[in-house]
Amino acid sequence: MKLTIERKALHEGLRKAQQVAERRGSIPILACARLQASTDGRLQVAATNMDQHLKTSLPAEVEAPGDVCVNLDRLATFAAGAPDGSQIAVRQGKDNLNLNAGSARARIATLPSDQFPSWQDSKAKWRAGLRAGDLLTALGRTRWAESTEETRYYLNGVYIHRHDEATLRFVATDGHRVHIAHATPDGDMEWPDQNAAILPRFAVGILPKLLAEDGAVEVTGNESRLRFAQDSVTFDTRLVEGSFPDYPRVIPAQPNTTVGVGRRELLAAVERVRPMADRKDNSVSLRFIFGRIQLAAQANDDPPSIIADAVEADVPDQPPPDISFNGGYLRQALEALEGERVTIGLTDSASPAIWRGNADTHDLCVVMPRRDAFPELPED
Amino acid sequence: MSLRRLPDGLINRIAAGEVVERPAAAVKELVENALDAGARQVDVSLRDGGRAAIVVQDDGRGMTPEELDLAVERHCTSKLDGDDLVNIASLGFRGEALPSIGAVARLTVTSRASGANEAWQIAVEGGAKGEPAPAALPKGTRVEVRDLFYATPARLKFLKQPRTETQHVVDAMQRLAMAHPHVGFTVKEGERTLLRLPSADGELFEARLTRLSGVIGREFAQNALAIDATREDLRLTGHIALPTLNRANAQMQYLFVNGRPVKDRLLHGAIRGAYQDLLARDRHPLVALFLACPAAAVDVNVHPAKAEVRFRDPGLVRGLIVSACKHALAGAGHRASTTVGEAALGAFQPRQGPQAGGGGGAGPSYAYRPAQPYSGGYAGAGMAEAAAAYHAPLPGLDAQPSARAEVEPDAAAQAVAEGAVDVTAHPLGAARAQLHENYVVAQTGDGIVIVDQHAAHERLVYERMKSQLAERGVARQMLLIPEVVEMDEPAAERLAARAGELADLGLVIESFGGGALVVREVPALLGEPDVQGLLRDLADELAELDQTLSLKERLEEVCSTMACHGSVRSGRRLTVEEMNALLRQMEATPYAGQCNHGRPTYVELKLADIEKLFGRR
Repeated sequence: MKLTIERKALHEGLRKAQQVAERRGSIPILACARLQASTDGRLQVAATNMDQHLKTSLPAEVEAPGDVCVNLDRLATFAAGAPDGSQIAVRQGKDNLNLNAGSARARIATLPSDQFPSWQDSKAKWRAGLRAGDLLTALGRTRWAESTEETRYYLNGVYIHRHDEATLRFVATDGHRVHIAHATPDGDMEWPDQNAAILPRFAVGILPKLLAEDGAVEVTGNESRLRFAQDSVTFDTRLVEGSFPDYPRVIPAQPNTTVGVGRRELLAAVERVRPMADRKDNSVSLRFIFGRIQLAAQANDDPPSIIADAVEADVPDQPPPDISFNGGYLRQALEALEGERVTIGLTDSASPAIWRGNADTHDLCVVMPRRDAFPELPED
Repeated sequence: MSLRRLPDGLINRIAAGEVVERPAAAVKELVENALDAGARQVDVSLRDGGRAAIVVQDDGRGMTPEELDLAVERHCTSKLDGDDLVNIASLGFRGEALPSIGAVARLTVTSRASGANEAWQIAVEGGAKGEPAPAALPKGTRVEVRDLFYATPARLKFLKQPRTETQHVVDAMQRLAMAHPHVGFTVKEGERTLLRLPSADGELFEARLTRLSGVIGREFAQNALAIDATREDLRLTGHIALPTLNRANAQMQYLFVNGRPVKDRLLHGAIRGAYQDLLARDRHPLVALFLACPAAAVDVNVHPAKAEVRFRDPGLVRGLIVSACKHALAGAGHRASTTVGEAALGAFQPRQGPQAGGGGGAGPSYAYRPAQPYSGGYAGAGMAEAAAAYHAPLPGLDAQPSARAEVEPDAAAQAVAEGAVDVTAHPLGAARAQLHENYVVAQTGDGIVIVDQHAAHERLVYERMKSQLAERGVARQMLLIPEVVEMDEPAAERLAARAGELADLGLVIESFGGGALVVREVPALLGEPDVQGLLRDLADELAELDQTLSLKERLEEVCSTMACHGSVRSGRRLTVEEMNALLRQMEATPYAGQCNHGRPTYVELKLADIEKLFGRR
């Protein structure tokens, strides 16, 4: 292998590969990138952790093709440190890679490329073309609610299924709440409406670092794998095996009452009272009175310390009963929703509450309340 | 082979297989007979671990020749007067021991009934009974067992080394001795005396403590709390050790039911519950508890060696043990084990010349040269009284530590500077200095106290959180998607039966039928817990200990992490007022003497011991 490549292109490609590679594992080859130079002027950089696989194709001036594995961090150190705008000359030795850029030079040990785990391409049964921005927004809004509890592995990710003819739905839940977001593919899609993909949490976390916001992304796959392809980047991931719970069942069809409130105003009020509650105990209580929502949180002192605040709201004549939530869940739901105002669909203080934004998305959050009494308010 | 009735000799040998499983069992049966006969002194001597010979001699009421003749017959006993097994007041009752032993060994019983002019002897060899013959014996009964198991060679082969068998005999004797402090015991193996416990005089508690310290060790007596509690017609007495005196296994936990040593997992569960957040999971306290209950409330006829019993109402017994121990531990206030202080003093001892092993450090040095005899008794009677007074809840003190001081903080600082703070007014004394930014040194009426500021404050914060949790209940997060946990049916039923108790701790479960449980609410403190793992642990615990500790432990673990983050760090300089406030809070907080893992939060060194170090005493 002999080639020259622009420092910036190599650096960016390696940064993406570093997201995927298993850099602190016990298998040395997984800390490597596979470099494949072809005579058509491309250098392909691949990295894998056995569950995820990334390929990115970079422009290079290739004098001699080659195929070799090299420790990703060592190579990235050189690429990061080389002078800006410089060209890096890469020449493969017997068991190493020689690098030159301006005054900097390096020799990095290589491993034979046949040790690199192969990633079999599988047949794509499902297909959807999305704007990358829409995909990343939908994942960003739902990932708050992903479960981190590993015994319920089927909740450790975002469930992606076809909602109706034109939309894909993204769902995540930890059993305490459900976050639901949507994205509309360009053109036709082929996607199942049930038993669809559970995208693992790791993949959800790194996709924003692999994809550019602007531009299209082609999502293809089947029951076991998904592929995200954007320009020169191809990211494959295994899916979480298991069946996602039948989440629509827990969304109340017809809440008794709805309350409308400014989203930012409520969020700000939640953030004003929430820090009063003890760190692990994080409860924020809501009381609905004519024209406003009163919020309160308490710290477990003796007697309890209490903070209260209020925001203007459209509360119906028959106000719903007091209700308490984990303050963190409230903040995340309000941040995940879009629009100036949100509506809260309520039944009683022991039933799930449905939160929706007034933007023209159908995104929603369903949050289960806590069993806490509304604190005794300080006198005015 | 046709059906036949077994000969008596064989029947006895079969029975012996259960009753006399090893020499220790024979010794136990014989000594129990001696105790039932009202002996005040029991002497046991062994040869070859009891295999060659066991001799048990007592000074009890003895037997007449006629009784002697009957005693070695199967199912003959003087201990059961009625026709039912309801009121069993003696240790033995089945009339099986002597014939069983007689069936497998060469047995000689010599006895002189009290008031009689002569003694008689009867011999049984491998089940063949001889005639009573006159013999010489000043008093009581002497039972000689030779060649144990010679008639059952199979069992003989399975005996362990003589040393092991001897150890089992000593263990069995120790248990019996603990239950009978007024009786003297000796155990000899050949010429060696393995156990010598003179009969302890005086009031029961005192005598028992003397006996317990003879058996368990001196440090037990110094660190024991007396237990005396009654519930309905059960009375629990005995002694338990402070949490800072602990062991790696539960062997030093003894339960006696009506004077009978028993092994009962109920006890272990109850003790674990009582010491729950005072000890790490793998450390075990030392306890010796004596339960007196009406004979009708307990069935002792469930185990051939009577090592297990069954209670009519196990819940009541468990509740009594847990509450009595907890009460005593709370009453102990903040006493830390004296062994800690003693070990510290041991380490202080001036070195005389080069130590063997050179760089061995303090550990080996005090292991070889134990601390000087401890003179101050445990933590001091005055301290205990003061602790009792201080341990009573003082409202408002937690929130405002300085409120305890009778003078304004500024004035207090001044007073300290002038050395005018009354050191005798408080059990933990007046703070004098902070060393290495972690250890508060305080002067007390009769010594000094060294406090680990981080450990102590952590415990205070933790106790406060725990009391809040108990007061306000555990906050619950309802589940949007209730979690269904599949387990085996009995486990699920056990859990469902305790649903109320679990709900109080924030875990709401319902039975789903067929071994499935549905979890509807979880404790908010735990965030997103591993519900399956939690329920399995709880089910296992219910089966084993009949207690639901895991959930409580997990909640307390969260509390203790929070307490750790919310408390004074080591390395922080404290002012005199802060140090005194810490000491006063420790005095007012129950269980402040140790951290959650049984390590002490402070050590106390008595002036008398310090003076000894300098040869002033």
